[in-house]
Order: sequence, then structure tokens, then C-alpha cells
Amino acid sequence: MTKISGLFIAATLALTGAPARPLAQATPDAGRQIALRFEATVGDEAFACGTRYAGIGTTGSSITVSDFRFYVSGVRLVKDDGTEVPLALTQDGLWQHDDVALLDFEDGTKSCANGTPETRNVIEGRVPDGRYVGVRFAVGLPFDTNHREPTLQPSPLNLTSLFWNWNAGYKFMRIDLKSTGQPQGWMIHLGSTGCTPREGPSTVPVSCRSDNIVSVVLPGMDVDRDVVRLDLRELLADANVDVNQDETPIGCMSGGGDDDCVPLFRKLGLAFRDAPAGTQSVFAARRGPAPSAVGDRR
Amino acid sequence: VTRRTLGGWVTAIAGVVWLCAAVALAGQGPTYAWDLPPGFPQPKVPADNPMTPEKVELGRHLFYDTRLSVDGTFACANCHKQSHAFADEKPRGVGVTGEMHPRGSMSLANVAYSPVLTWANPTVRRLEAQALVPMFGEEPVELGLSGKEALLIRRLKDEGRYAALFPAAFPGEFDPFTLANITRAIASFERTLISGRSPYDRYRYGADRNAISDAAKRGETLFFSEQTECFHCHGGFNFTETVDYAGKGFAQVEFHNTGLYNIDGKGAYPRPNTGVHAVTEDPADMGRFKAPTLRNIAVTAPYMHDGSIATLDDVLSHYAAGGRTIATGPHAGVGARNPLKSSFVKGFSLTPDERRDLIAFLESLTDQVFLTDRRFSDPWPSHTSAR
Repeated sequence: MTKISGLFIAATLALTGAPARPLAQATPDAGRQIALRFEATVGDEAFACGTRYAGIGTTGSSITVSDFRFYVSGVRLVKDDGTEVPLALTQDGLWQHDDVALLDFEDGTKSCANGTPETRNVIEGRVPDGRYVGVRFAVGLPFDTNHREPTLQPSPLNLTSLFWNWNAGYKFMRIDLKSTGQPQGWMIHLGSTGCTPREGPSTVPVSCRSDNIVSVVLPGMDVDRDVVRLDLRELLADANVDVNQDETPIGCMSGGGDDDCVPLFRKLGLAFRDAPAGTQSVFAARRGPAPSAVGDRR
Repeated sequence: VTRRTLGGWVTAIAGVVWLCAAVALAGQGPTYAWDLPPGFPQPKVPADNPMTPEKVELGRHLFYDTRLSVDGTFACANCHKQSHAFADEKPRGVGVTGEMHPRGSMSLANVAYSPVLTWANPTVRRLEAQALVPMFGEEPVELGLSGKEALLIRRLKDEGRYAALFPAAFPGEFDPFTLANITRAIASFERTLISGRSPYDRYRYGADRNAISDAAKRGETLFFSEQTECFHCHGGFNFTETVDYAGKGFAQVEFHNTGLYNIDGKGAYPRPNTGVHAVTEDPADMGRFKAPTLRNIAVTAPYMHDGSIATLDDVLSHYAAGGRTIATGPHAGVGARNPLKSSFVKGFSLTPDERRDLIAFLESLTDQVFLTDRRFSDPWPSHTSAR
């Protein structure tokens, strides 16, 4: 009966689009609203669907991009005394659910025709009043969230483009390219791999050899003024996007035998086979205009 | 009415709907009439997707509906054909974009009894979850629906038959046109694809002494002998040890390396078909694949996960040699010396007569009733079908 009650509550919330954790949030009057802004760039150029970017990777390839989305979870703001507080995400029934936010830079046009018209470049939530001088977050999903039955999940966990059923999980990040040498496509699908099943009729793995969750730490970021930049040129700087290693998925799909992942994982600070984890260099804080110029951000 | 009040009403109504559903679940409802062959156990069904005739009928329509592919050209049935025991005559599947799957389509005969789905993915345990792989998978693209879920739902809502079939299958749901319900219905139909009325079944379980030839009877003896060891992996009522059913207690899940390849002398199979290893990345899982059911095996050629063996006779040669030797090319290697090979694939010798007898036995597992059963056939009238 407990199971049915839980199902009932979850289903009701899903049906009504009501916040999943209304009581866990800071009350509207307490603390302050945060809008953590993101931008996707190729070097210093703003990313756009349909635009061709030259001089990419070790071969100076030319690319267009057909998908550009990723999940962020576990957002923490760092106070000036060094302590961290979680950003309680606004439960908007669309882009954010529980501790997970989807960022989406494809707009469904031109080269991104298989995407969605809606885009998202911000994570919204509340924190207690205070002075915040840094940000940290993960690119990826918490283990339990990643391995639930996907057809029963609320937005933004119900997008089939980000399903990864073969690996019993989700794609954490998908950036799909077409390059000079790989006009049919060269895909970056980041997700957990090497998963071992639980015994019995469950589809939930017990563990995955490589969770492939990217840890991003941005000290000194002014959350009211600065923008988190994802630089695709930096991600691809050491990669050869004009070739695909024989007998492996097209581009990098996170498998332990897929050597196309080596230069990307290094940039993302992820361990790969014998290479240890390091520090990511793809995400950086970009100084924004002074707060007064942004308008009332409370 | 304020938005908040409206939300409250919606919540309340949803609550009533779900309470009814909970009561229905707890009350079990009428038992599904399986029409099982003699001696067959009752399939295990997930508690959250009980069998109903209405769900099965909806699932049958979806299984044969080409709206389930991005360009409206492919259905599940394109690669799972009733005439081939819901397998395919191609060595490997080909999807809507023309991309070839690394592996061949498996027979769906008796898939209700399989506790693990596909050739070598130990994480895929439910048919409901498996259906998502061909629909939304991109490596390879099969039905090509990734990112097209809204289009799919819209297409289904536009079909007159579904206006009745979906609410009948999922009564009481405000909007039954959901991805979860699509997979539940397809899984329910697939669970009805039970094959157990072959000549061999009539001979063995139906006391019809003349249902199979003398050659097939001698072949049966060979099959279940320590000489060939076939039955170790292909034993039981479904001719595979990977089996589960209601009341069984322990689901059996087995994967075996049969020495089909050995390209580096250390047991490697050619990528991407490295078996369970491709999912778990555990080196010990290299080349481990599920032993498929041998029911209807004579109509599911070509054989092995990659369709690399054309005939049953050649399959016997592979096992008789204790593994396949490939002399030249990128896959060259002596499979018999694969260090990860199952100890039951030890090789054997057969006289030409014995070989014919074994094949006669395997052919006696072909269930013509199953291959022609109208309950499993395309329900769409040919002139209106989406196909």
C-alpha cells in the first residue's frame, strides 16, 4: 500500500504539474532569487544553429552543430566564508525538476531541425541571503535519477532525444556535429557507461564503471553579474573531428573502448581508462556587465 | 476560478482516478486467459502492467503500425516477421535510415519467458524498457523516433482505431496516449507470442508417436547427449537456459562465449559486437551472448548474433569444431582456442547420418500453428494500413 500511495502522490504531481517538493523550498519571501546564466560559444563567437565554425580541433575542421543540450545537477553557491549552500531550484514543470536543470542551446532551426524550438540558458532558484563568490555544479544526473524508468519521468527528464535506453540511463550531454571529414555526423554523447545490472527483473543498474559526471568549480564567480560559458572550441581543441576510430560509435559516445573520447574527456576533467580525472577547462566564468546595467535582479 | 483552485480540482480528480487504479490493482481483476501449450508454465508479468485482452489488441496494432517510425515506413514487424517466428531473414537488421544494425533481429517466440532481452544486454530486463531501444536508439538508428515523441503521439491520436483502442486498454486515464502506455501495450502483445505446438511438442508432450520422423527422434537423442552437449545451453521447455516464469523462484540468466571469434588470441570478438562486454566493459564478459531459443530455429536463418553463419549445417560445423576458425581477414582467428569460451563448447564428431538426424530434430521444432496464427497477424486492413 505504501508503494501505491507513493505512486499516487508522484502521479498526481506529474498530472497537475505541481512542484514536486513545494515544502522543501525556501518560502517566497525568504532568501533571494538567483538566475545563474549560461552561454554557449565557439571560442568568442556565440553559438547558433546553422552557423559554420572554422578552425576546429587538431585538423582545423569546419563544423556545424545539430544538437546542443545538457543536464546540470547539484548546483551549489559558495559563500564568502567558504561554506556552500545548495541552490533550491524553481520547480517550473518544464526545465527544472528536483535538483536537475536542463540547458538547451539548440532552437530546432536550420542544422538543429531535430531539436526543440524552446531554448534555455539559465538555472533559476533561491538561496538564503548572503554574499556569494563562487559556483559549483555537476554536468550529469544523480545516479538514482539517471536509472529510473524514463517514460514515467516529468519534464525535463522525458525528452526521448536524451534517453539512452541501451545504457539504462540518459545522455547527460549531447552535442552533435557535422564536420568537413565526417559530413554524416560526429556525435558527443556523454553518459554513464560500463553499467552492471541488478539481479532480478529491474532495469536499474547496480553500478557503472564510469559515471562520467563532469564536476565544474568556478571560484570567484559573481553569480549576479557573471555568465557560465561553455566553449565548444575548447572542448574540441585536441580532438580530430574529421575521422572516427574504426568500429566504434560515430564520434564519442562515452564507451571505454572509444578512443575518440580521449581528448574530450581530458578537457572535461573525466577519467578515461588509464588516464586519471583532472580539472575541466570547458566551462568558465565570463565577467558580465556591472549589476546596475543588468537591471533589477534582486 | 483562480489558477490555484483549478489546480486543486485537477489534483482531486487525479487523486480519485489513481485511487480507483490502486483498488483495481489490489483487486487483481480478471485473470488473463493465456491459452498455453500443454506443459507450459504461466509467464511472469510485471505488476505494473497486468495482461488484458484490450492491451494485447492495442499492442498488436502498434506492433504492425509504421507510424512508429520517423518516416512512416517501418514498424516493429518489419524486422520481426511472423513467417520467420518474429525474427528476420536478414543477417543483421536494417533501420529506417538504411543503417545496418550490428546484430540480427531476434525471434520473439516465447519472449515472455526471457528474463533478459536482446542478444547481450544484461541491463534490459523488461519488454517495456526494451521497446524504447528500437524506437529511440541512435546507435544504430532503427525506427528513428528520437526527439519525435510529440509527432508520434499526434499521429496515433489521428488514427480512428486508436480513439477506441487506447481508452479500452487503459480505462480511466484522462489521456492514455503516453509513451509508457505504448510500451506497455507492445510488451503485452509480445508476451502472447507463445510457440509450443510444433511436431516435436506433439510427439513429446502430446503422445503422438508419429508426429516426428525417426531421424528427428535419433536427433533428439543426440541433442540431449553428452556427446554434443547442446542441451546445456539450449535445455528446458524453451530450448534455452535463460528462462523465467511465474513461480519459478530463480530467474536464470546465462551468457556464453561460444568461440565464434578469437581475433587477438586472447578471446576478442570484433567490435562493436563484444557481447555483454559492450555494456558492462568487464573484460571477462568478452564474447558472451544469450543462447536464443531453438524453437522455430529452421525459419530464422541466418544464425548467430551477427548472422555470420548461413545454415544449420554450418552451425553444427562450428560447434563440432569447438569454435569457428576464420583463416584470413580482419576477423581471422581460431575460435576453438578462445580462452573465454564456454567449457561446453568442446567439439564433437558427427557422422553424416548423425548430422542429418540432428537437423531433422531441429526442424521438428518449427511450429506452423505459431507462424500462421491469425491472432498474431497484421490487424490493419491492407488498403487503410499505415504500412
